[in-house]
Amino acid sequence: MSESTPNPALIDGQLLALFDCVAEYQQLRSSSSNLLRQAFFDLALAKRSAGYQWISPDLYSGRASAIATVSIDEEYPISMRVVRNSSRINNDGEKDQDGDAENADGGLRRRRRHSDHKAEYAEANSSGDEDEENMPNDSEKPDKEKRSAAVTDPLLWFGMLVPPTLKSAQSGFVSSLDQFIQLAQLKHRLVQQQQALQKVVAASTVKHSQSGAENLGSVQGAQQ
Amino acid sequence: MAQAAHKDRTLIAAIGDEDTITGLLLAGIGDIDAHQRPNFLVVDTKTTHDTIEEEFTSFTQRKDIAIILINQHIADELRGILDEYSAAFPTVLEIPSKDHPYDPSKDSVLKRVQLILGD
Repeated sequence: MSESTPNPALIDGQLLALFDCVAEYQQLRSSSSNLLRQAFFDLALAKRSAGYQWISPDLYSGRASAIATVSIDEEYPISMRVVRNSSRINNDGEKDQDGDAENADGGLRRRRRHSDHKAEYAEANSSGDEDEENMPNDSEKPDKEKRSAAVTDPLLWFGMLVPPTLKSAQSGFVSSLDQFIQLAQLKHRLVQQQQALQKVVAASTVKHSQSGAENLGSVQGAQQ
Repeated sequence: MAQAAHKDRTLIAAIGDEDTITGLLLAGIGDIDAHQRPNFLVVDTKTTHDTIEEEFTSFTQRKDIAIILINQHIADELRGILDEYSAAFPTVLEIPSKDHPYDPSKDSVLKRVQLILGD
């Protein structure tokens, strides 16, 4: 047989790698469950204070697009990471307190000076267009683009003045989602480890059965 | 190439109860495509088994979904389909819900490990 002799150390190594992976999976499971439990608690508090009918998936816009997506890198081992399209939610899920939708421009927000406000007010009065009053001075993006950037935060679908507990619930769900992606990645790793272990064990079984048959043959020959 | 096909998989789909879906939408996974197909399904007492099964199958057939998150108690209703499902993408991950905490004994990943170790 052209197959090389399976090394017991190789099986042990594969098995240990699998156990490490399982331990990591269980640890991450426990951590994500705790995070999710706290997020559910915060969501329940938010629902109680805002009203049960105001916070539900029914209020979600029919024109929305995902701001949390996954990027898959299929190089061995498969890696996945969350890509957030919105700059309005940082890793802690905190949103800037100024809920003015017109000011979101997708990048770092520059606080406007008092003189800017005055200049804008004068300009708005002269042109008579009230919509321009709220536009930032340094922005040259079309209004439509800014509006689409502004609607990226899902918190806005539930109103402009949402309870603080809803913000902390959002933060908890954002962190939980990150851990779910890690769990999905770990699941792929576990499957790969299992396949590798099964291969080594199968090779070992074949070798053992072959050597067992040879031993049996030699014992029978000696008895005769 | 398969790799290029998986690169297009960017969405996270979800099947869960109202609170789970609300939370995941808050986290920003919600998407409604050009055909007005959402990437989430809210399961309540009125949702039939067929609807869940149909939606799960449609999620698995979509080329833009990378991960399907499903509440563990809902996954129990689809156990037969989930056990047969072996595709790498979309990856199916069972998650706990508010009323049904995570149960390791029902986790399909750990069950598979136990099967290999002969427990």
